[in-house]
Amino acid sequence: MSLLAALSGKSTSDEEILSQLNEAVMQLQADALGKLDAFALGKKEIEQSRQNVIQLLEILQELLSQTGDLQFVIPDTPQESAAKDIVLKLEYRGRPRADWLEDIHSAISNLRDSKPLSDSDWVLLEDIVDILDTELAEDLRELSRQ
Amino acid sequence: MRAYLRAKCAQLEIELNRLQDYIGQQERDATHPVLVSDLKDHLCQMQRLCRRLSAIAENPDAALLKRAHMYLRDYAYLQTSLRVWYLPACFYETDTDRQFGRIIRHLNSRLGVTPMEDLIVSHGRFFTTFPGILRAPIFYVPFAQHQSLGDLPALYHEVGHIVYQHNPLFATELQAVVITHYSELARRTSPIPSVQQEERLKALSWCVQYWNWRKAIRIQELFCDIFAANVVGPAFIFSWIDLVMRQAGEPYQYSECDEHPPDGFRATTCFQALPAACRDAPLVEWMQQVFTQYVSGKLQRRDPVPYAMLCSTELMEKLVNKVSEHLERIGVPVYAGPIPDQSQAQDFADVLDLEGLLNAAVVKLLADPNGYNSWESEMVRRLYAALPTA
Repeated sequence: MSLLAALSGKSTSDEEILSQLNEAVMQLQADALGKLDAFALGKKEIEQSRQNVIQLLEILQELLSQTGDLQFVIPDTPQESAAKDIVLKLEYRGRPRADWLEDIHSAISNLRDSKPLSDSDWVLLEDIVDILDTELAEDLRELSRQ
Repeated sequence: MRAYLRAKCAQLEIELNRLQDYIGQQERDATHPVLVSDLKDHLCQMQRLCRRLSAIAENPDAALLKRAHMYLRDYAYLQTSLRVWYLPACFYETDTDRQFGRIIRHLNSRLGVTPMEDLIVSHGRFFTTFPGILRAPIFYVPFAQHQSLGDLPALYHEVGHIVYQHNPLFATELQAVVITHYSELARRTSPIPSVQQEERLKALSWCVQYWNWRKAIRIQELFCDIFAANVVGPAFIFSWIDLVMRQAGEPYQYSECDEHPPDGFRATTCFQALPAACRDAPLVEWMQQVFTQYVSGKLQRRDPVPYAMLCSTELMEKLVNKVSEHLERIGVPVYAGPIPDQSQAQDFADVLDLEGLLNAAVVKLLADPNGYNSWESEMVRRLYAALPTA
């Protein structure tokens, strides 16, 4: 009855989320750099990545729009639950919710209109990927201790 | 960074070729076709990540190099799954492991609610599972477990993890139970000064954080206890109490670093989760006395957040009810008893009724400790003789 089983499930879920978002961000970056051919990517894949990122940002936006203590927000789906973890960590960084919301709104807007992402959009995406990466790295360290 | 990535890619390609050979050997061996098929998928993902890393090495850009770090982490996760867990379990699997695997396969077919199509057993550490591939998990069991019924109820807790992870909505709904519980407490007005009220709200928020910490890992552990108590009945509680007393922890203390809820809360939860058919049985009353005696004098600490707030009876009952509701919905067979008496235990006939057999074992051990060894050996012999071979 060690932690291994629960940790394995958690790390599988963390890996899936990180893997999808990191790949989507990479594809958007390759597109922005004009290097789609180097990564054997097509416009259809870029559009899909754009939609995936928008979908995540919209869930984050909805959660951050809530008032009061976010711990008490009840997620309805496993996706919302994963997003809540991200939002709690964003908030932990001490930046006001309104600022995060402003950045998220801008990124969604640029992605929807297929406009180039601004520096602050890229920083936002990096922050989110970084949160997920830190979590998976912690899982891996714990798995190696089992 | 570019030089490192190029070197790393060369190293990973060597590793991938070797892993391909090892998986190929397992494929030719044909013992675990389902597992091998999933290991090949893992390998394909690792090859894809390696190609990405290679492309980044050839097109270096500061932003893309950041992605490379994440790809390496992703690769490390898959690499650990293969090299640390699955391939060693496959390559060092013994006849004894395979023999014990028959018990788990039988248990699985009795339950009928897991996604398990294959499994692999490895003797040598206390009961735990690595369900990295949910339909083909690894079960770790202690050395010589294949000869014994003792501790075997712990296996059901491990199977509980697979059931839980196979149904992601369980986690969401149990988290909702916890959050709703503390939200309701927060809404209840209390005639205390506003400063104290603020402290109370912070404590309630901390309780939600405690239970939902790291994807609600503690709630998952409780689910598995409730699952096992439901399915195996008193035999699971006996095994659990025995484990707690062996480990001699502090049953009413919680720790932010411990991924498991406090033992006292887990024990109360297990008793509450027992099927109605055996809740009032003398064996259960006796186990309650034993546990009460063990915990008497073990006091609750003066923690900033009181134990009674974090591990309240009200919360425990809500969680047990919700899990039982889920188990009933997916059709988990609940232990229906009756608990065998001494004479029924002695002559226990239907060894394939695994949960009945485990309860008979507890009755036999308590009633006749000196005669237990020969009884258990005979039951284990009959069990293997009766189990399907394939």
